[in-house]
Amino acid sequence: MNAPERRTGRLHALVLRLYPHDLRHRYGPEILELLETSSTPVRDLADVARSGVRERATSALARHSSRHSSRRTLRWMTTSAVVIAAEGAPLALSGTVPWAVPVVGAVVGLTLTHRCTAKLRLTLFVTSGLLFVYLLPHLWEAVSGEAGRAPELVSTVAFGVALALAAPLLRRRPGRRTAMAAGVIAVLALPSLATTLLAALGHLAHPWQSYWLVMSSYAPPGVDGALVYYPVLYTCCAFMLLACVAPRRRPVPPPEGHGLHA
Amino acid sequence: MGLSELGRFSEPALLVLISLADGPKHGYAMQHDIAELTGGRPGPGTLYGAVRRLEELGLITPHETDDARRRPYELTSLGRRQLRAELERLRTVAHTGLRRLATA
Repeated sequence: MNAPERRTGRLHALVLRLYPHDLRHRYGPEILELLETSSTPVRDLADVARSGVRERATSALARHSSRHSSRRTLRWMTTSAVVIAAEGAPLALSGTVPWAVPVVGAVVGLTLTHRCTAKLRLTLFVTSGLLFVYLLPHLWEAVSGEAGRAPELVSTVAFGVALALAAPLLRRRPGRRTAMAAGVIAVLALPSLATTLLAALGHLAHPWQSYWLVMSSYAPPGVDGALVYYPVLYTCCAFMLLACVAPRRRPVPPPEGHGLHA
Repeated sequence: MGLSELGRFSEPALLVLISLADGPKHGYAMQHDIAELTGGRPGPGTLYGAVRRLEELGLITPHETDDARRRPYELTSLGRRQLRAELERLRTVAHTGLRRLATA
């Protein structure tokens, strides 16, 4: 092999190094064969260089996408854990932590506003379903004729109906920020309104202040343990609704083309 | 899954499939066959980009050989079916276009 051939060989090897290792190993000898027998060596060398750069970029994007997917899964698991903790803590610790629910709920809600995925929605629905399981004994008492649970039943049904009406409104105009903000404020007001109804039906003093008194861990006189829970449950459900109807982030389209060529 | 999945790179891929339709060929033979077919010879990067994609899609498969620089490829049965479907589709498109030109 003479000097010009050695130089050409080195140049070919150099250009082939633009390809990722696995592709260079797989197709390199065949591409070299075509380069060495080419009647238009400059054009073909440019074609190989362009394809090598493109393939390396595609390979790097694919790796980045894979890492991104792992991060999304980790974020989903973390957020789900926070949601479950936000819902479970008030039930487990009674009236000592209700004030924390709006704080945690606000963080979760804001986080989910742009990140609510199908898997996360499932988590939210399951955990929200568990909340309603908590209400079942009270419903049973109301149905079986125990009049003492009537205020809870009425306020819960009213709250549920209001939430059901609010959900389509939020879904219908996800692009309009003013409408969305009004909907969010309305949903956030629902727990307070439902608690007011609950307190008024229970003939408590200052029904309008009941929600804030309960959520600040101060139980008004005459309010039993079960009544303390309801504002917390309403708040949790309102945040869950906001998270569930949050507009989905549009998926990023994959990079155009995956070939080695232009 | 069809050739449309290859996006804007479907033309070189289609030409590779057509080149292999009458039997196995290695890269150099494919280049010359496509040049005769279209008047333009694909560069090595372009050609093996299409080969790689088609191999990934299971439309072509390499022959076992000792010569790593001249590895022949052939159509798989799936590749043959996909090529036939794509050519039928192109024939319909061309027929429609020609008919419209004639009536315009």
